Amino acid sequence: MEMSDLLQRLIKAPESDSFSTAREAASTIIKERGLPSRKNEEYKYTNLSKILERNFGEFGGNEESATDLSALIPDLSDNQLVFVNGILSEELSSYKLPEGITISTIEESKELVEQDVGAKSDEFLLLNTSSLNTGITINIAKSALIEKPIVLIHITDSSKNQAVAHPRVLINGAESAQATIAELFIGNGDALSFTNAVTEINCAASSNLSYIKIGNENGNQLHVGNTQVNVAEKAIFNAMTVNFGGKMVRNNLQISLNGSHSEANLDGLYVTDNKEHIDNHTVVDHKVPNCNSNELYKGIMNGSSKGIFNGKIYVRQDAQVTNAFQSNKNILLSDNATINTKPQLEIWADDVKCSHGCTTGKLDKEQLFYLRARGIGEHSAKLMLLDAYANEVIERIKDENLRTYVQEILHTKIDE
Amino acid sequence: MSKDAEILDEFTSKEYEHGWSVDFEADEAPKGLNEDIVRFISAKKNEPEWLLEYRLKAFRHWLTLEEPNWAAVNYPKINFQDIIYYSAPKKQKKLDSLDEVDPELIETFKKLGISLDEQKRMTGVAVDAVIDSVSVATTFKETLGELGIIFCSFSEAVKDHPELIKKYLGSVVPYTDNYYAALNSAVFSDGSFGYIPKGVHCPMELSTYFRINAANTGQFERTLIVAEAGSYVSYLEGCTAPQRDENQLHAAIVEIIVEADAEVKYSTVQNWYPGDKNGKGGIYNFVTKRGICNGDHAKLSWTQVETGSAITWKYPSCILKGDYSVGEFYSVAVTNNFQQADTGTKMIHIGKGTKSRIVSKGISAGHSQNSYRGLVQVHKRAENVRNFSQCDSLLLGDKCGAHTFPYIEVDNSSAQVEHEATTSKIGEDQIFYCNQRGIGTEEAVALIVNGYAKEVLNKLPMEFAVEAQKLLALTLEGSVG
Repeated sequence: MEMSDLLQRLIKAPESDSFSTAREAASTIIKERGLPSRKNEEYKYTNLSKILERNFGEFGGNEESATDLSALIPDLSDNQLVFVNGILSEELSSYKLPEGITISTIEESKELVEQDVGAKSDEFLLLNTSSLNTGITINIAKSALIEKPIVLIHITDSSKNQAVAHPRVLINGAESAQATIAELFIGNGDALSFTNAVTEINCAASSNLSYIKIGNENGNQLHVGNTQVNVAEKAIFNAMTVNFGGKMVRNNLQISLNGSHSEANLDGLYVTDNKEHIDNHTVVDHKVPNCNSNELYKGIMNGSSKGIFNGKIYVRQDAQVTNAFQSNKNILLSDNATINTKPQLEIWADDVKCSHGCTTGKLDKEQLFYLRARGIGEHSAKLMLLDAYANEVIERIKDENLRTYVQEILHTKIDE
Repeated sequence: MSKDAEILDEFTSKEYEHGWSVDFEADEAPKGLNEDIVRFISAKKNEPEWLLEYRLKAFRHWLTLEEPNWAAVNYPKINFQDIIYYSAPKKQKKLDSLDEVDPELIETFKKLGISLDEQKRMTGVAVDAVIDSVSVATTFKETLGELGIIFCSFSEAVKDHPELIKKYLGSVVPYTDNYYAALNSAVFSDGSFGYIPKGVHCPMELSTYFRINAANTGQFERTLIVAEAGSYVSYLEGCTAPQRDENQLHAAIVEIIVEADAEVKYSTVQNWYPGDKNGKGGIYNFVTKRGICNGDHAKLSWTQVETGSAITWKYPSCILKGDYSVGEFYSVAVTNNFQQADTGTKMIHIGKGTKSRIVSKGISAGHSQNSYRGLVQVHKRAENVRNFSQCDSLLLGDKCGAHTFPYIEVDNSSAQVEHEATTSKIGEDQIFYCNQRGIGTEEAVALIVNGYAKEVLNKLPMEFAVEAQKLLALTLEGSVG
């Protein structure tokens, strides 16, 4: 099939509404550029367009699911919003919003949506915008302290047909606001599905926001997530990205430190098996002086799966007195597993302390031996080591419910 | 035979129907590049038919390629038709005394600590008979000859040892490799050839330094080194003295073949003209360097000190094919003013138990940009591979940049791959410590930079190391304060 045909099918053209300008602009650019192929350096290891081209000749689209999905939904918080194929499901959601949180549709922020459309925007972000007709905005009021996390659960349901979802979420943290937002992506059904999510987060001055993205998708799911974060002065932003599978997953996490004395912490964990493919691309852009960033991504690859990590740190010429640290560690459990990693530093300022490190190896034989010498079976010993390895990341999830949930998925995944 | 092949066949055979002869009498080819120029170069050098064939194949392939632009360097587009691809080595004007030489050059020599006689030789001043370097070179050649070592210019090797050239030319860097490799394969001017027979330990550092007749190798240099099983050689390329060259584009190829249990150590000191303080002029140094560890337990080690050139774009690489072979890369790249360097290495682990080590130290000052770009690739069948990479960047001044692009691709779970990189500037406390002890800021920077680069400088053969240290200080002169 011609690429333009594919795009035509992926870009649904709903009735004209407040997004028509953004949609049109995005469609024009994406049609001209096409989806990224392997020749695109950013998508060198993740060739999504081939799979999309081959499989999405026919697909169901955004129709609502007929099956009862309530069994799939974990109880993680008092505030859970459930989206099925990109559309908010009132009946599956349960929330009693605490004071300081307001939720509206994204239409009120259409200027922001329009701003995202540019010649250099990510192709999948453009694709999301070009088929945009709904989305959600979460506003956290000034100085509000929200203790319980707000959880957004995205279910891509392909039990009837192949499904495509383009969820769009905007999170605005006002000055000195504190909150935790989690997004959980799960799948249902045996047909192929494609989730192309965009989440934008604006952290106003002195705010402290935590964002947790949990991907627990099945082997039929393709996922692209673009998360764009703007951090103002003295704000702290914590990102956690954990992924436990999916046919092909790509996370783009882009953080701009726009105000001085701001801080970004990025943590990530990816655990793959069988033929899964998980790709994490992160960008931390230090634009102003006196900012800090810390990044830790860890991976466990089994079966004939593939892990990809690309971490970029930019330190612009004005961003003096920057501290930026990055670390990527990988464990390969099988001979057919692959890891491609590219920790990348680009620095134009001189008063900086930057470092990155990355390691790839298998489980430490000596550690295994130590445990086995104490009467622990090989399998349990391996599990213990992997658990400890992954927990360095998971422990950083502050909310207990979410942390336990992630740990449980980890245990089932590595126990296989 | 398909129609295409038929046409092709007809076309190629036709050209040789009437033979081909050179009409040009000049020592210089006209500007531009076409098949005739390639034939001209080949004819001028009296090359055999097969080599002309090779050049033409490379040229035809080059035509199909596009100029690469992925490196983090900026330069105006090169007009490949505005270059003279062949000019006979000109005799340098003989000067009578050093007084006639550019005083700035003499000043630099003094700072580098180059002896008066060497200064004379490098600037073309007639040298007196006692230290006639030609005779020195002849003595060396005899010693090498006794051991069966071949070390001569590439053209000589084509005449005297065609079977070796035929066997190894393009075996590591085929002309299809990249744009500049194809260009070089089509128009290469001259270069060096080294052959170390089985089990021979080369008793001295091989260096172009001693090879008088190949001093003017031109801009498209080609080096081929073959180390047979169990042999050892250390090869030095370049020289610390500043090289004033009129050619803007340098596209060289270095190919190294290391057989089982052999070891090759390749050291480079590159100090081509970097352009003036405003970034005008300077050499574009686009080089393809690659070696293959063909046999088990082979070892290849690259050491480079890059201080010159307006743009340096090169990645000395090791293909570790033999089991338990070892690849090493030690690099110091210094950029000042408007220089740009995009350099690094590739370690391709194919054999079992192969090991590699990368140490790259970048130093940027002024408005320069310095990038490390490297690949560590572990193939599926390469069991128990070990790699350690370290790339550090030092920034002097707030207008320069340091970038790191490491690619790590691991397909085998038994591999242990580690990479670490840091970027920082010289601490004010370090400078203060030196100042306090009566060491001026500029000297202090030189001292600290040398300490920082020591790990790499230590890998250079001794005679080079001393000069390289001074060279580092010299390149950074004026970048402080």
